[in-house]
Amino acid sequence: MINTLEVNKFSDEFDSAQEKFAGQIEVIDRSGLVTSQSDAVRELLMAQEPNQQGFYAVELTGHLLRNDPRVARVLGRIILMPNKRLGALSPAIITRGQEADYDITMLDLPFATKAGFTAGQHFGLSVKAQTRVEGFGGHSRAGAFEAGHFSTVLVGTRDESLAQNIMKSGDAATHQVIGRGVPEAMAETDMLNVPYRTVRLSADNHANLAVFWHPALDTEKGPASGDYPDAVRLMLGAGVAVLGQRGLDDARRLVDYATEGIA
Amino acid sequence: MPEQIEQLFFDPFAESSEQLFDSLKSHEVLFAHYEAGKVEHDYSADEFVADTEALMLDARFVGQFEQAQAIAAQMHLLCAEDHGLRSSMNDSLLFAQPAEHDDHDHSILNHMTIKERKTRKDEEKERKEKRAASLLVKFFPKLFAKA
Repeated sequence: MINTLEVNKFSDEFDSAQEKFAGQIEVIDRSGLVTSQSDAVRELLMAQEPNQQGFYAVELTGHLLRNDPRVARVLGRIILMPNKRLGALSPAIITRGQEADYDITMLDLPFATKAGFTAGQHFGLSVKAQTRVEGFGGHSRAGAFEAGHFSTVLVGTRDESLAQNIMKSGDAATHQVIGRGVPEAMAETDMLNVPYRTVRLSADNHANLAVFWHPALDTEKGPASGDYPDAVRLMLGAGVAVLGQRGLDDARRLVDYATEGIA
Repeated sequence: MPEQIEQLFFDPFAESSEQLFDSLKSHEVLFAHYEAGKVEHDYSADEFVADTEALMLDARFVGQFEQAQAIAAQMHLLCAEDHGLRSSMNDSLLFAQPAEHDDHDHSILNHMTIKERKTRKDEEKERKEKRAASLLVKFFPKLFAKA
């Protein structure tokens, strides 16, 4: 005698089955792994079933990067993408570029289900997300401290060609770095110990991306996103720590030279 | 042709010759690694974050960070001059909250309270209105002449 019905709780069937068989048959969540029932998780997974290892395929097919509303549910969320080099999935994030394009940033670190999504991975991808928010590197929120321009100066102390560009072109040079990606630039100059792999796809790109999700990416606030607290400040702190007093003196000299050049 | 592409998946991180693959079955090997428990966590980024967070609490580091913020202020000013945006910077400072700048905005305006800033703005407005009125009286005296 059948007295249970197993249905993925993220499917439409789950609610209707519960209603239809109320008091007769127990409707059991078949996914069995996801703890959050937030709308964002439902939306992200679109009633997908997990595979045997507990990973969900996130459907991102078709004209993914062409103003497709499906992109919105993934933007800024932590996702998993295949990393052939590691033979594993790696945490990744999709952010808007400055033009009509998208950055897909993947950490060159494996996602291990036992450890789950850890602070280091969360920080790494949050820095990317938080340096892509509107206003970062901008002039409208003027004041004494603007992280975008400052991070560029830090990179300039370790990158001679950038230093020359800052002295020659001033602001234009800083925006080249900001546009390309600040965390990547800081990692390349050994100020961030986070291995990034970033590709930029045009909004016209016609691509079906292989994207996955795991319940370890579920949080009390819904699917994990690039919201590590004060990630940008921590990034700058890491830069200052690596440079030390001597590096700061170099940074000051660089800005002095650049100011003289502009004046 | 587009329909054929629709069936293909795209790995933006792979070598150009290997970017397109025919289905998610290509990931069987990858998931077999998970099944066999071969995927180990890499703690390098976690250690880096923990070390940096601890360091940022150190008093000596706080001093260096303040120096860094002073350099940042100079750089930002340079960039604003480069853009010719000094005036817009001053305007926006009238409305800026000190907290928006990590509590380290050294401009005089940002040391004023919100009430003080509003008063200053009102005074400026009043002064401009008075000046406009006096100019009107000066150039169009007939308009203001008593009947």
